[in-house]
Amino acid sequence: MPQAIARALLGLAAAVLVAGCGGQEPSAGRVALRTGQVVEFSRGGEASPVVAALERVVGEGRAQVALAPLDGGRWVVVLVDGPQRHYDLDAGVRTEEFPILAEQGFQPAPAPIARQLSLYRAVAKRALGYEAGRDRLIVLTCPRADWPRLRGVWLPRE
Amino acid sequence: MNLLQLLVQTVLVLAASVGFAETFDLELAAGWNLVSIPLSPSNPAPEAVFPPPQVAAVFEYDAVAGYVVPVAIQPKKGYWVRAASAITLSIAGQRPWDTSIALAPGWNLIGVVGPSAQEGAQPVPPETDVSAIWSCGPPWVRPRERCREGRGYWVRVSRAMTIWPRPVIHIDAVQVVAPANPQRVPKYEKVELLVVLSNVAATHLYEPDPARGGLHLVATFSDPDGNLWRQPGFYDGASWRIRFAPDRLGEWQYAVTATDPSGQSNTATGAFTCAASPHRGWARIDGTVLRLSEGSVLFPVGHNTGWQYDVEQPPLADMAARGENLLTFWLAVPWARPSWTSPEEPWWAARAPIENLEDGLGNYNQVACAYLDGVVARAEAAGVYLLPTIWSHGQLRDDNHPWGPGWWSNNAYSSVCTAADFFATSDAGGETPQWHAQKNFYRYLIARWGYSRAIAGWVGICEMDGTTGYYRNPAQATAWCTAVRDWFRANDPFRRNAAGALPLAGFKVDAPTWDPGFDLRATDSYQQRGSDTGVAALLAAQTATMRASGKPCFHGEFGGDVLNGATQPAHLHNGIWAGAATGAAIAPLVWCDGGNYPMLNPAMRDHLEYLSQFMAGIGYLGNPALTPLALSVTGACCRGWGMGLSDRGYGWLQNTAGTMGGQTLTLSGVSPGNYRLRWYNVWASGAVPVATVSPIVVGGDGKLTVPVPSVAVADIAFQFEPD
Repeated sequence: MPQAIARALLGLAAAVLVAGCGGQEPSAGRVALRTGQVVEFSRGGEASPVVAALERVVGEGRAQVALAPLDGGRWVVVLVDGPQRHYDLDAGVRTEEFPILAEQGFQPAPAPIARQLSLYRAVAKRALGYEAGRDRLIVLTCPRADWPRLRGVWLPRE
Repeated sequence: MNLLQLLVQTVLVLAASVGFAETFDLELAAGWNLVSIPLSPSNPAPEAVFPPPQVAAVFEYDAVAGYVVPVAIQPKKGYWVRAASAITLSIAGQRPWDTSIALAPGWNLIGVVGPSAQEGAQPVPPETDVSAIWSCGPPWVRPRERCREGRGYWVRVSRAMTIWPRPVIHIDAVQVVAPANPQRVPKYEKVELLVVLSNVAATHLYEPDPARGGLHLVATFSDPDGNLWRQPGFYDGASWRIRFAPDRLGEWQYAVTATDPSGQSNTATGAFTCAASPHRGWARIDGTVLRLSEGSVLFPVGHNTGWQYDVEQPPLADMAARGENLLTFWLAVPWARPSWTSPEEPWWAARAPIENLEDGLGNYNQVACAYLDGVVARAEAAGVYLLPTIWSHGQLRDDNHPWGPGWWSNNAYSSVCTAADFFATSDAGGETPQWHAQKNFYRYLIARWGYSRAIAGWVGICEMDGTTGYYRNPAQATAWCTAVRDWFRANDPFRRNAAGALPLAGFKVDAPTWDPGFDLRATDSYQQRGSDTGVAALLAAQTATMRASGKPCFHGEFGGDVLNGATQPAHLHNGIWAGAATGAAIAPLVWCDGGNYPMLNPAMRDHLEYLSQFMAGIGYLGNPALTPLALSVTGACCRGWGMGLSDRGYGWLQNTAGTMGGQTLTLSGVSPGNYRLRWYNVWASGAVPVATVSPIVVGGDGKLTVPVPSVAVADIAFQFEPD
């Protein structure tokens, strides 16, 4: 499935979200990204409803979202302030497709923390109007101080 | 009296009097009466106020001269008046602006002038120099509630002083607002009293201690046999109410009193008849099960919606229609704040903590209370039981915990203690403020919702290991569990059994051996959140461990992480059957968060219904002799669990690497005789067996051996009984 997603993305125009960790507003537009392209985290634009929902849970300034079109759905990476770097993938998404997880030192969340990530996922899904099978949602936790160093490829590689 | 009080009182009296003559009706009985007049009569001549021949004699009392005939009738003085016959005198005059009363050492005969037209004031402040106050004789009685305008009072003081009558809290009316017919209350249904109070001096309306500025409203209900129930009242933000539910047919009586810093009110009384109803009462602990007041065993099957903004997913009536009879949820969304309410997000105030940071400790969020009123009412109507979680771990976790940040910063208790000290009930200064506030909160829960038969019990705290207090000081946290248990034992008469135990639980994650003393044992379980098959063995083992304590037990949460290995409904199916087959008092409650742990879908609901059907057919769940079956099943990857008596039982078999069929089940320790065994494909139904085998002859070796029929699924359940 991820490969199919990636193939579908190939050839689409590049874009889009540029806000970054500083909270700048993203540029306009909603264009599908190529696989392997950098997606940057933001608090504004299309991400803002999701960020707002998450900030209600974790506090202001403690959540950002990277969001991009994906083959009729959306590619969403949720980043929440947390004491350690943990990740939780979506159905049909494999760790191997995201070497950046290992490169950046992210680990699967252990039991109690995994349920916290599940909470973030639930809140993000609600704010997104998440559609299973079309949208893909990754949840990350990472100390906020480290966020500027998280620039990288957040779309799956083929 | 301070200056402000004097000013307020003066304004009240002036507003009621200046420039306005009024009439006071004084009722006299034939003979001697001890009376007073709360007015300065327009004509103070004694014969004008007490006209002869209807009034034959009038005396006042002077501390020096003794009884004397008055020259003029004055307010604030008491008079002995002898009437020739019963008569009501209408006396015109004006209220004095100064209601203070000067008392001489020794005995004084006085009257009171209160700020209200008819009901008066309490003339005697709590001073040690006042040694006696009597009225209404004969017979002489000491007024227990308040002094009333129109009556005379003997007051004895040791020194000269001036007293200022002040209004005392008063019950003006008690109205039965539920049920619709106030004279006929169905058994176990709510009777709600609306109590109209005046002269309330309390400033902290959710605090029941008058010494702390609070108001203590309580009703004593007396059943037809004379047994007494004391039920506290509560403030709903606008009015005072008392909720109760009768448990015996016949005539009930009640008496309501209120106490606040001004004193104690009069006592209002009433009565109603408890009529028959189909309800079965409250859930109470009986051995290792929950048994309803009317005697039947309650085996709850349900799910856990935890922090959901709308806890009723699916709606309670829909749950009931599909065999579910229990919903557990958190009383609050730990991060919610009342002020976040918006048309697009109407749930915030309703799901914000009842006691929250914005409203401040000691104040209760009435939007949330009203929401819970609705949940409880709908649960009662649907026949669904509720198991509310009072404290969730994240509410009591700060940022310095291995689980990551919680929401202590949004907890009202952060104003009086740290997260690490939340569980401290006492310190060098005595009772801690956090424990005092908690007790008030628990009292409010009982006052407002304790009556409801829909409340199956309480979860005092979920996943205590996720709290900072437990992380820092587990001994203190465990002691808190005992304190909470003792408080509920003492104050929840509805769910308390004859031995004093009640269904109150608290738990950690995957800690079945942890027993902080709650009467209901529980744990959460996520170790096998990613394994459909593994969850069965884990929950079975954990249930067996907890049940061995002799207490009823259950899993407050377990969940299948569908993004990390689990599938639904298989994970749910295996978990609930494992718990039920090992003697859980409540079927394991699946965690539904809408993230990795999906909300109930139709397939999951099917399996809850199948279990409900199956367990409804077992009439011996409450038998204290029910023990784990000695059970074996052939097949390398097959296993099973069951519960039974010597001649009947039930169980569940699982093949972790294939389907059931062709194996052999052997039960040991069965009494010799002929038996009938029914097999159930519990992926399709818990009510209709797929096969029935009879007779099965059990001989002297006590072994019941039977082949397992083929089903195209990995597990199968059975029931056996004498043929």
